[in-house]
Amino acid sequence: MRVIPVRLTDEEVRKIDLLTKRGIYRSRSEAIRAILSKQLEEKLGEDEDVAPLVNKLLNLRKTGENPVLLRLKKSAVEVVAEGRH
Amino acid sequence: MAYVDTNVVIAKYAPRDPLNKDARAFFSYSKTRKVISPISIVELMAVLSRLETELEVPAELESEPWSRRIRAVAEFFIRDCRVSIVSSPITARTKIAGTAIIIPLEYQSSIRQAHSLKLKTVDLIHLKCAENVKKSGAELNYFVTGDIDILSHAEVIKDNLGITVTPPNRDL
Repeated sequence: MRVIPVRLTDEEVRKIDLLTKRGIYRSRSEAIRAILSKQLEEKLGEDEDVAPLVNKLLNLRKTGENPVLLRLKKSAVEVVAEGRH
Repeated sequence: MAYVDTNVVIAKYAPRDPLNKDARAFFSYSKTRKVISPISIVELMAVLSRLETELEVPAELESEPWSRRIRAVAEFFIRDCRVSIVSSPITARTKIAGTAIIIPLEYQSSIRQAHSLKLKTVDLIHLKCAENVKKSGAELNYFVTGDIDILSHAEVIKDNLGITVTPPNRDL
């Protein structure tokens, strides 16, 4: 592990201390590492590379079959409109 | 050029859907360039996230985490339907309730025209995204949807935005 100096605001330190006081993390260090790790996972996940999976689906499509099917219980219009209410 | 509503994309992959045949014909035979916007991607992901029991994918994808599975399916839909994603980087400075804020252009024009279009929020934003594409100089003439509510507003949309609202049609 490497040590990297990072500036935090008093408010951020207070919140981290609160998490350790509540026993969610054992130390400030563990708290910051866990939070950072989660954020990194999420940020990198935003652009996660699904290209190999998409290519597999496109290759299956080329064979004439539809590799993705939606067995909807409602119509597509209804399913989409539900999220627009 | 046609802006394609999310329900048309979804219908293409739902064999029992009333819109399925027309959606398939539209994507297969219509020569017009088809576009969607970033909000369409958000909507595709949101819709797919709610279809855990209704989404059928090949076994190789079943083992993938749900987040990767629906992301892959959304990207497959975009590639398979040959739709381009158009995004306007233009923002607008506006003052609301005494606060000056910077918002996407389509939000500003949605706020300004909400009273005349009388649409649901996301419907309005989709149409304003389409209008932005048109205003940028592209020849966007159609908004393709299966939504009866939007179709019933076709006249007022045509009058205000100059865009024809139509169900999917192979002859577009």
